[in-house]
Amino acid sequence: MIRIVHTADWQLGKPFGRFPDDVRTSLIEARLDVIDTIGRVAQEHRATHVVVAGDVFDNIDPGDRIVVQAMSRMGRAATTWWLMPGNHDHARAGGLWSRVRGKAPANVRVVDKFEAVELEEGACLLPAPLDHRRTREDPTSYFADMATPPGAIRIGLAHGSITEFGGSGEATNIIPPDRARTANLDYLALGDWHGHLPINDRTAYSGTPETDRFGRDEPGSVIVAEISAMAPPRIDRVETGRFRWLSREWQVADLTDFSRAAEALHNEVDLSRTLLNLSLAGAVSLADRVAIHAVLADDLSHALRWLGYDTDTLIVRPTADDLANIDIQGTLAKAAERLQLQVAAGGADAALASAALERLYIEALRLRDEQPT
Amino acid sequence: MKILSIELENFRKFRKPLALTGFADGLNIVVEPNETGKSTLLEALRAAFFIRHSAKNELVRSFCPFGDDVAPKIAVTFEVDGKEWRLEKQFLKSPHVRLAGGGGGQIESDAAEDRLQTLLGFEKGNNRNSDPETRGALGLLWVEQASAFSAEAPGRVARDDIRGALEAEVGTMLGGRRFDLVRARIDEAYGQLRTARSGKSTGRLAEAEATLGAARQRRMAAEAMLKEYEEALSALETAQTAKRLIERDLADPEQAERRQKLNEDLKLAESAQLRLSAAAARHAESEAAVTAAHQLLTRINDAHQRRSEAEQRLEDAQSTLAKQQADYDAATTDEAQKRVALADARTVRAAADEALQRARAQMALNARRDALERARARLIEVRALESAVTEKLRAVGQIIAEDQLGKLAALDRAATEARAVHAAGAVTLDIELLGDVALLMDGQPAATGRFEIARQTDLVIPDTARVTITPPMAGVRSAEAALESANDALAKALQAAGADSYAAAITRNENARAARQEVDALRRQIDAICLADPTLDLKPGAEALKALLESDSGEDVATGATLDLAELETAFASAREREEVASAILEEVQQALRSAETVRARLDADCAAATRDLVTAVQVIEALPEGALAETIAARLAAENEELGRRAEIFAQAEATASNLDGDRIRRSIDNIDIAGRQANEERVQLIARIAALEATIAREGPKGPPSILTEAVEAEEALTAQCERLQHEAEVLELLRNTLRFAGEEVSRTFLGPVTQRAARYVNRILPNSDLSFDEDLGLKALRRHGIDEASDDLSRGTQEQLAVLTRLAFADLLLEKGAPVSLILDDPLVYSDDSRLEVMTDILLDASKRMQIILLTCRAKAFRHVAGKRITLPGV
Repeated sequence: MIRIVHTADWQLGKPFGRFPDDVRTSLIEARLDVIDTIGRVAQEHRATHVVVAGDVFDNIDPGDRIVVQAMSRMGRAATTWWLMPGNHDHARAGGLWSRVRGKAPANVRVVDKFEAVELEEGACLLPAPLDHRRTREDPTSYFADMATPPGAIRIGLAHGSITEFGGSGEATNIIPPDRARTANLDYLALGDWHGHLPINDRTAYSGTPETDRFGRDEPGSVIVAEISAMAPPRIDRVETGRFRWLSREWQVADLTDFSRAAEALHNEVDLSRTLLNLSLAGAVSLADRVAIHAVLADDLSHALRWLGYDTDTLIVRPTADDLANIDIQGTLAKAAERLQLQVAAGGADAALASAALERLYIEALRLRDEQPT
Repeated sequence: MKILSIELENFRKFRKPLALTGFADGLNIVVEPNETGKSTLLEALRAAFFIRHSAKNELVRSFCPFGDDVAPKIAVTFEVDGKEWRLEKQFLKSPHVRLAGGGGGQIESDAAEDRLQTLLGFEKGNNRNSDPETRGALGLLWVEQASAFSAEAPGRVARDDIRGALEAEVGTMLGGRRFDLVRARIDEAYGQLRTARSGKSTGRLAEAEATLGAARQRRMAAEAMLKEYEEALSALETAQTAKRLIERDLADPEQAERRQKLNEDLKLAESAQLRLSAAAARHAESEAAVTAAHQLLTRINDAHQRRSEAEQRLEDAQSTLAKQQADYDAATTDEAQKRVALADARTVRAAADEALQRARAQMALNARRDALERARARLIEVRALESAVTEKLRAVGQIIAEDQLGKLAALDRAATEARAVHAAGAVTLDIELLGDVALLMDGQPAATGRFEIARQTDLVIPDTARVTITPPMAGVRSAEAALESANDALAKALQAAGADSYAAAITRNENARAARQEVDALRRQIDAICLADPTLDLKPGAEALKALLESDSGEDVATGATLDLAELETAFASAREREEVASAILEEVQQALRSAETVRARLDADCAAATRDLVTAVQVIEALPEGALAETIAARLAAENEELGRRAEIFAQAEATASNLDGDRIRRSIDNIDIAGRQANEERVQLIARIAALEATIAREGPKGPPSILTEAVEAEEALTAQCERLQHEAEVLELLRNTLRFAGEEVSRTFLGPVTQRAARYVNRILPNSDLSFDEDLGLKALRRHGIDEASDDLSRGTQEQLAVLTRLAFADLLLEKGAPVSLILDDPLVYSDDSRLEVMTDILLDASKRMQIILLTCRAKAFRHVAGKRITLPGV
């Protein structure tokens, strides 16, 4: 029996360039910090090996800062790290992995050859590293021919899609789902899919330990696998992620709806560790829309680690009060009326007119606040 | 408001005191030539009301007459709301102001100025050129010469007054101030993104766009850097692979083994080559022996063969010759016989020929004789015909000429007429003799017929009777004489002509003509007889015939018997045929003889040749080496052949061995191996250098993280693009809002300004029918709308502009008047650019308005305003 931590898709050095600088820094640091977390998980579960199934780095040549940071963090953990190139950080002569080797501490091993290596006595790791030429074929096809000492536990390590969930039609490195059986593996540790996903009793994707994109609400995690030659492995999911990346669409009819949803979110997650991609839909009054915007811009966006929101589908239905707030009669009222007509006419300019109306409303309110009549 | 009087002293050109009084309620017209001080009058009014007495600015100093150091003084008496006021103001020297009236006491200094402001609705100006914004309605309505040209917007105070009046009429323009503030905010916000005028990016938007541009540059640079880096990686990989392959080749043990083997092969090849040379020599030797033996044997066999062949040929030729002799002899004999036959045939033919010739000569002679006889007969005939011709020619010669014949005819007619005259006196006696009876008339036998008896005539029938006939006697005698003379003349003429009677003469002429025709016929006949005759060489014609026969002796040509020429000719032809046949036969026989001779000659030649060959063959056989018997030689050849076979086999083996071991090829292979090795070593060294260089590049560039830099740059560019788009969107929103606000503002002000517009329109339509005015928010005239088309006020003619300026002021004045504001309209030299008809309309309008307010018109054009009813005022003492 051997206990290992199975992880993948660290994507160290991912730049997160779309985010503001402070958010970027946090996200980049979180990816490095998760190495420490994994080290702790290994220690807590008495796992002496951490196998990383590809995409340790975000690209074929991250800067030295990332490499050195990663190596120093791995170096201080009491476990052995087995790093395998994936499609993002595929092996290339003279490239990244030469650098990694040069800087790696003693407990870090790079498995970039199709050769079985001994994790410890009676347990072998069969790696299927990707190099820049072999990024389209099934890298696990070599497993069956990899000889291991009789009775040794065979653990496959590969990076790519499983045939079944290709879907997009352009999937690369397609791995047959029954590879563990056909190659006589006791466990096949897979990388590439960023969510935790067991495929069968001997095959699983660990998912990324620190989520790096929207579309996956659950926090990052690793697998702690207990593998023996006799029985199927025991696979446990252990959460490691710091940030949660949530995508939400809130249907709101007024400010109350919105506040309720915001309150629910507040109760559900730790806002300071949450990135939220929010889409608002529905039809609200001008006053509510402005108020919602104010909450989004002045409150939620500060409470959350990051907030991105889309209010294009939040349609404005100005009420009599809204319009009265702009002006009851006179020039401003006339202007508001004119814009409303443009909104009602629809077409390409309707959205622009709606935005203009909102702006007029805001300015009118501001004026009222500044110079109450 | 109403001006009642104006007094000036030391003001501009008016040094001496001047008092202008008698201003009436309605229209006042001050008509004076240029330079008399009309405009100074308006200036003085403005100074009195609007310039503070304490002011000492340039304008105020200019009030002082040029070169004097005095105190300009103005006093104005006026009425407001039915109350009379008097204002006195002195500038520069001990300046002061005094306002009295209005039912109150007299106030001075600042209190007076303030009261004046309240009374007339204007504000304290900054006194610098007396700010027109502050002057209120009077500032607008007291129109200076220069500003009369344009419909300037009213000053602020006046504007507020008018707005106040409008609000009183239309209702408050709600939120006007809020609108202005919002609008200013929006303009400001827009101005932070785009320029108000051209809409170009500025401020935050320009900054964002610039940042985006820089980000794009960085991204492109990062792309280039990554590309270069990846190319280095690829190149390194390629170089390493190449190096690995070369080293594998260099270290290949098979290659060394192959070289060793090639060396050994080379030695083998060299010895095989030696063996091959020896075998080749021995093989060649044996081949030569076989060839020699074979040739000798052939020679012997050939010689014997030739001898027996020659003998045979000789024999054959001789026997053929013998057989041919008989044929030859027969041909010779035959030829001799046939030659004799031909000679005979020729003799016969010559005889036949001669006989035929003779017969032909005879036949010719006979023919001549016959021809001569015929010619003679024809000559006789010709002579007969010629004598007939001579006869006829005689008759022809008797022809009487036509005139002579005419005379004869006349004479005959005269004779006949005379006879008729004679017969009239005569008795006609018809005698018919019946049977053979003799009747004598006057002794002469009478014949049967009619007679004219002019004299006594006796008829006697002998023996039987006498009958005397006596004709009547009257005139018979003269008639008889005439008849006689006529008959005599006729007889003489007949005698000359040789004719018996006229009828005979006619007959003779006819006969002569007939004879002439006969002569022609006879001559033709002669010609017909005298034909040519080739036998006698005779030409046609009588003369030729006569010539031929002239010398003719008349003797007959000697002639032979008549021969059978046809028979002779047949005999000759058959003789000829026979000769021809004989000749042909001879020729054929001679041909046969010649053939026989040819055959004979050839046979002779054959015999000679065979004899010669035979001799030669015998000589050859005799010349053969001793003991060169065919059998011996054949045996030797067999032995030699056997030896050759053995040696050939050895030679072939040696050749195969040598070809398998091609020394040159082996040496080339060894050289190639050596060259390839050196080349590979060279390449390896170069690759090592290249790999080192690439590794250095990668080691230098890699740690910078080119893909990270690119991803970062791409994402930064995307973020900036999004930011730019957000700002652009914001700018568009603001632009829309701005336009909407402007439009709404215009719309509202249109409604708000309705009263002004309508009042102005009433006036304007009198000079420009179907037109409408629009004002901007500051109440300035914006455009004239004529027939639905807007024309900016600046684009209008000067005349129209000036007229509109006056009319819009009038409209404002009306509005203010209705509100109860003090209103007074002063126009300085107005309507300068108006044509006569417009001027008339304008003065009508002013006259009409003067019923509501006091109007003072200052002009230098007496004539132009002569038709206008109004109070005329003159400047005293000018």
